[in-house]
Order: sequence, then C-alpha cells, then structure tokens
Amino acid sequence: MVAYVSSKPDPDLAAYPELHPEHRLLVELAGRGTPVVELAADLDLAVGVVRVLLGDLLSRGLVAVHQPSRATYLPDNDILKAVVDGLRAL
Amino acid sequence: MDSVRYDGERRGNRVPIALKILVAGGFGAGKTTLVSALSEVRPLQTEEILTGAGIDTDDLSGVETKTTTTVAMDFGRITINDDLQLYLFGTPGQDRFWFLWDELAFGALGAVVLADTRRLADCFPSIDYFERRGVPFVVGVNCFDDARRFSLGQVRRALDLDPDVPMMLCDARDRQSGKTVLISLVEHVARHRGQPVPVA
Repeated sequence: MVAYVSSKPDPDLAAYPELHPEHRLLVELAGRGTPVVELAADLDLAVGVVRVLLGDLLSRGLVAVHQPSRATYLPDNDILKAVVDGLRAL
Repeated sequence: MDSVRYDGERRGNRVPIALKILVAGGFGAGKTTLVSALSEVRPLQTEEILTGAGIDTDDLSGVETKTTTTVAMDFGRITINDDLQLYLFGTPGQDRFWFLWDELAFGALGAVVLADTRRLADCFPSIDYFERRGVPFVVGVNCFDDARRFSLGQVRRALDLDPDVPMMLCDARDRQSGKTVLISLVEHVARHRGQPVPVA
C-alpha cells in the first residue's frame, strides 16, 4: 500500500495503443515516486483497481515498483529518532 | 503491499521510506479528525472495494465478484524529510471490515487507539487486535467537550491495559496534541524493541 511506484522517464505511451486513459494517467502521476495509496486517491479509484492497472504497466516495463523492505517495517533507531525529531519540529 | 513485485530497477533517485501508522478506535472516536489535524495535505481518501473473496490481490478474478461493498479509507501524510514520510491510516470503524485491517496492519510501525470515554467499549476490539498481533500501540483518550472527565487511571483500569502501554489525554482536533500522541507512539515502539529513542 505504501510501496512507491515510479514511471519510466519519458515513456513512449504512443507505442501502447491498448492502454486505457487511467493507465496513462497513472504513468503521469507516478512520476519519480508516488505511493500506491496516493495514486488511488488521486485517480479516485479503489486500491485494488489501481493494483491491477499497475500490474499492466509493470508487465510493459512502464513503471517500477519499489516494495518497502523488511528493514522499513523494523526501522532502526536512527530512523525512529529522525521521526521523533521531525515530529517535534513540525 | 503484496500485489506488485519489486523489480529492483532504481534509477538514481533514492526511493523514500514510508512508515505506516494506524489510527484506530470506535465509530466516531475522532480517527478522521486526528488524521486531518496532523496531515500536511488534505486528508486523502480512497474507496476500497471489498469482496467476499478476500484481499488476495494477485487474484484478478476478485474484482469481478459481484458482491461488493465500498468503504472509504482515510489517510494523511507527514513528510519528515526527503527520505522519510509518515502515512497515517484511519482504520474502518465498522466490525465487518476487520479483514481490511490485516492489510493495513501489515508492516505498520504502530497504532494509535482513540478512546471516547462516553463509549469506552468501542475501542476494545482495536486494543484486542493490536495486542493479539503484537503491534505496538498507545491509547489516546479523546477529550470530547461534553464527556465526563475520568482520570487516566480509571480509564486504564476499565480498558485493562498492560502497564507499559502509554496512555494520554488528547484532543484529536489539535495538531500539537496529535503530535504528542505520535511522538509517544514512536518512543513506545523504540522501547518495545529495547532501544529507547535518545532524547533530542
């Protein structure tokens, strides 16, 4: 859900006439990196639907998906400290 | 999320780390209010289609199932720095959406359970859920204007909380108050792992 999607730089969407407008919008929105949930909110589509569309784009190599690593789930102390400091500074 | 695979193709830019924090509690406990108060963007919403088939997202036939119902998921974002973002997810309050929780809780850093002293029992299921799954959580007692004030000790006894679970009064409408709750959660997560966060 918080996996980051990034699109290929300067994708040649014209080469894929079978793609729907939602696919094209996704490539545009993803840009350099946007989490799946944000894409769903921007497109006003269900997360499940966005996943299917992303699957289509992924198979054509138009987007890359960066799955959060195990380490992200158990972030180290430096990350937690950065979060606490960042929150205090807000 | 497990529907997509990591293809390892990274191009120059570092991909930021996104940490997930859940905001749970009974219906009307102030979850959406808290997410809105803390989020740097307008609270985002996504309509999730729920199917009886479950949420095995690789099963594309799931989207063709005819018995669907829709629920809105609230979420908000707090950018800590370029490499680090916090996502706050308001969990659906209704019992029938329990199965959505598993996906939300997957990989979550921790949770905030909002308690409303007028309907304390509403947050029991959330507390049970996080206790069972070992997700670290803190309890924020949301101070509604017309609610009778109870001492934290009374609420803690009523909820039968473990002594090490942090609990505090809060005002879900107030950003500072919400921040305090989140900070205490992150500190609790660190303690949970046996490494207290150094005081700044």
